Amino acid sequence: MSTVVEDWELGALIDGTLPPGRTDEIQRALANAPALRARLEAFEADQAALEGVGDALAVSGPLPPAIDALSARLERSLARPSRWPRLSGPVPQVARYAAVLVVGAALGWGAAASQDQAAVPETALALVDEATEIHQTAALAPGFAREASSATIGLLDSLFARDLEPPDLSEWGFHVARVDVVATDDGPAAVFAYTDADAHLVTLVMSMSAGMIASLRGEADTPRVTTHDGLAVSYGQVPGLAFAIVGTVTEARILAIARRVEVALSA
Amino acid sequence: MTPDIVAHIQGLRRYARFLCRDVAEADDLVQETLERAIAHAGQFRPGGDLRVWLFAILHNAFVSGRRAYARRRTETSMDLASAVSVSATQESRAELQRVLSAIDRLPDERRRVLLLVAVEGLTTDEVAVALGLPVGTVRSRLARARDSLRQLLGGRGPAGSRSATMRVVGGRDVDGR
Repeated sequence: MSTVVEDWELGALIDGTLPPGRTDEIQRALANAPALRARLEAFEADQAALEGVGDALAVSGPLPPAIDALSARLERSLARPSRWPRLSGPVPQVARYAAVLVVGAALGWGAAASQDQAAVPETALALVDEATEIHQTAALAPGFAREASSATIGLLDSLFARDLEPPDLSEWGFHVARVDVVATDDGPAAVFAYTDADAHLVTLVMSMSAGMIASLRGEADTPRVTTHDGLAVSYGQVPGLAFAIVGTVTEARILAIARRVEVALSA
Repeated sequence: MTPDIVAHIQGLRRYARFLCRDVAEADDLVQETLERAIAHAGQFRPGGDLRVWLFAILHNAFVSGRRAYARRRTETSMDLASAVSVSATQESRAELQRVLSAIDRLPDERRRVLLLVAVEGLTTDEVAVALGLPVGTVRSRLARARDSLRQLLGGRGPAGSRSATMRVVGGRDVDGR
């Protein structure tokens, strides 16, 4: 393993979150590397100062009444049986994502009213609505998706039997951060969640279901753009795939991004 | 309520104060966080980390409403350094105020990562989940934040050597230079 010790590893060593094997390696390196010891001591000094900050600004005492009441409600809500099935492993994980959206749709999430439905043909509304809901869920709980990596993207490729390389959106400052598979009324869809330096989220939803693709048939001049539930949405299709991209950006920007997505997915 | 929930909420309130710079606005943000959490409690995964989930919701609530929070911040800006507990000794309070002033000068994205790791005790993996960022981005921001902080605190080296270069941020050097 590498003898080069990165700064984040020193931080993780202090935090006690470095894997044991790597911890042992760095501890051995520290015995013979004064410069490395000096770096570690600087980190420890910073950490000690910051721990003092945490203690000095600690919030203690009784909770304000409104927060106290909400906290009690949250605790009761969490005590109820969860919608999440107790599953584990990669494929059940996908099923878990699917389950929450199926239940969500059953509860009416998918029926949320559009603020600008006139701009979206009725046939395309399902894709726009699903993509918006997926974006909102991803924004609320990004941790439910998986960190983007070649392995997770490879899993998508095998699930959908298609090369799903994330389109490059770095021109707009967006980089793919997480990968997801969700259930829609028309079957599973692949999701790439992009974030920029300010943590803005743009969500690309791709469906290969025949129903979803058919819903866009006859649409000219795609990608098209609209505003749905206060979010900019652009949608379009390439052979064998319908896509929608959603974000808290302007319609002009989401349309420009969608055009790039269209080119990338067609390649 | 369980002690865990109360501890999580107090951690959220502290982090919200760092974000909002105003005690009342920070508590409003925590309330909004809890309301969102209650509305979506069914999405919380059994066995998941409640604290990380709550921090993720708080972060999203802050980002989605940050224009309002930023506007209020300019009107009511709280000086972090002035919030240090009065129970601290004068010497330790001066040191804490110096560190807080330095933290205040960090770019937002670095400050958030630094505070979540070094003050709230989240791991870089947990911060990545809470902020919806790749873990590599979190690690690089954290390293840059620590580096910037060290420079702002006078470029101190290993512990024990820092008194020679100590500065009061915004004032004169303690050694009269």
